[in-house]
This record gives sequence, C-alpha cells and structure tokens, in this order.
Amino acid sequence: MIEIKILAILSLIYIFLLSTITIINFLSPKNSITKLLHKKLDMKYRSVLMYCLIISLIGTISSLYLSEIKGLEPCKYCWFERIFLFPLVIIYFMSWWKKDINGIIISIPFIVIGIFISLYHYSIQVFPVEESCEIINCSSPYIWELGFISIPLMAFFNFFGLLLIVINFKILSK
Amino acid sequence: MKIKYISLFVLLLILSCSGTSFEFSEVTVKGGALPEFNRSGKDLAVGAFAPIPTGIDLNGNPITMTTRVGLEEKKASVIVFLAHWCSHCQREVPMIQNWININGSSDNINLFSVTTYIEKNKPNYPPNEWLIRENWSSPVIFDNEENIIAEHFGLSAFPYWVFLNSDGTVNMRHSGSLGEDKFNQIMKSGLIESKN
Repeated sequence: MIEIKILAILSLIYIFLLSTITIINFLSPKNSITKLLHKKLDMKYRSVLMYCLIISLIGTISSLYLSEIKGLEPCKYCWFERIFLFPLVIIYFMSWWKKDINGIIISIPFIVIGIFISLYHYSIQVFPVEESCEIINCSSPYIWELGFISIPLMAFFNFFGLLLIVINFKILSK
Repeated sequence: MKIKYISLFVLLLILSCSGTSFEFSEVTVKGGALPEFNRSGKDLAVGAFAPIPTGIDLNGNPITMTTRVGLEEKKASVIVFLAHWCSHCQREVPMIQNWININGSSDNINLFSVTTYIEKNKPNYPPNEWLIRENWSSPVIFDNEENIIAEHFGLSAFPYWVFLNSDGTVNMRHSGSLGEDKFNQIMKSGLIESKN
C-alpha cells in the first residue's frame, strides 16, 4: 500500500515543518521565515479556519479511506479518535462560512482530547500490556511505516497539527 | 531546480518503498475445523482430531503437519501459531529457539509452527526473513491469504498453541505467551495424554 507510505511520509514532513515554524514564531514572532510565509499565506482568522478545515478534511478522508476502501477495521480507540476528528470538519466549515471566529475556540477541546486519545493509543502499540495479540486489537497496529508510524500516530499528527495552527494564529495575531 | 528536487524526492520515495517481498503459496487442510478457542470456558476441541495442514516451509519445500503420518515416531505435537506483527510472538520465538539451542529436539514432543495473518503493511514483514533472522529451526508452514490453517485450528489470539496427543487428537489449546518455565516443563515431561 504505497499510498499509506506516502501519507505517512507527508504527515511526518508536515508536522516537522509546522513544529519548527511554531518554535521559531514563539521565539521571534517577527522572523524572516514568517514574513516570507505571510506573503503566500495570511494568518487572519478566516484563513486559519480554512487551513484547519483542509487539515481536518484530509484526516477524515484518510480515516474513511483506510476503513472503507482498504478494509482496515477500526478498533475501539480508532473510533474514539474519529469521534473527535470528524465533527471538526463541520465546525470549521460552518465557522468559515458564517465568518465566526468562535469555531477556533470550540475546536480546541476536540483537538486536546484527540491528542490525548491518540497518544494513549500509540503508547499501547509501542508498549502492549496484554499477554496476547488479538486479531483486531488496538495494541496490534495495522500499519507500521518507517518503523514507527502507525495510524494513531498519524491521527496524533493531525490533531497536533491543528493545535499548532491555532497556536501560530494566537502568537501572530498579538 | 524545482524538477531536480521533485525527482530527488520521488527517487527517495521509491527507494524507501522497495523492500523484500513474500509470496503466498498453496495451502491445503485435511479434516474438519475445530471450534474457535475461547479462553473462558470448556474447550470443546479437546479429544477431536486436529486438521492436517500441508503447505510450504521456510526452504520452499512441501511440509505436512501431522502426528499421524510419521507413525513410526508416534510422538505428541505442539503447534505454535505466530504472527510477524505480534509483539508477543516476537518475544516467544527467541525464547523457543533458545530452548532448542540448549536442549536440542525434544524426545517427547514434535514442535511445529505456523505463521499466519501475514500482512504486508504490518510490522516485521516479511515473516520468512524474521524467522531466518531468529535462526528458527522448527518446521514451519506459511498460511495462505485466507488464513485457512488458523481458521481450521480455531485461532483467536497470538501466540496460539495447540497441543496434540500422539494419535493426532487435541490435548489442549492455549492463547497468549506460554513463558519459558511452562514451555520447558511441557517439552521435557511431555503431555499427559487426554481425551474428551
């Protein structure tokens, strides 16, 4: 499944770049990289809602692709992650459409809970606690790209990426 | 310049994707399927004749897993079902191989193994390379894409153990890690032959 490998590599590159930019913005909000990026991408609230909508939509489509097209049955924690990811698409779309900045605030609890669940899910894949591996089990990863990227880690990248966009918006709107 | 970077990225991607492959081979199973193993409750498979799978081993040779073919030996058998992606199986394999390296083949029991639920996108793929890496010396069958052997033996979780009496009937089944002490005890003292 080369598409999953591509998705895993792209998500890793995306989270690495976004984390680096966030650290730079945090240390020096008026740095040259941010200025250069601002020429291409503005950080007004409506644009931020659009970026978040795109990221959450990519996460939702990827999740549905893995389960409905590739036939990877979601485990219990995958479903919990989905519960907090799928509504974000609607929240961001409606907030963008109605030009409502509150969409960003409303989405934060979903993102934070999603981060905790995906991290817990990933931790039980790395350090399984049960004495056996069930055929469909949250601690038995379906995919393990580059030796460490599994579906919950990609879900974490998605939630954490959204959080970083919101943090960047807060830093740069000061 | 842009094309150069894109070409480099694509090349790196192709290189990262190119890996070892595993070919499924034909598997046949003689005999009826055992009921799915349920840890809590009486095992209804005890006393029933176990299915007899035939497939391809680690060296690409045909192999049949039965106590009934090698009647001259008339030994009890242990079949361990392994999944390459299962962390418990990854720990169980070196434990078993270490026991064999120290004690040699058991006088009381034949040890067979089946690798099943083979999936390209799961960790530690392909299973043949994993077993070669672990210097696995026990006879092994690679299950097919439909996991027909696992289904016939009523597999519910990994690692999965099926203990057969010398007449080919099921003595007991176990799912989960067996542990060094219990494995050593069974391999040295053999099974207490039982019937349902």
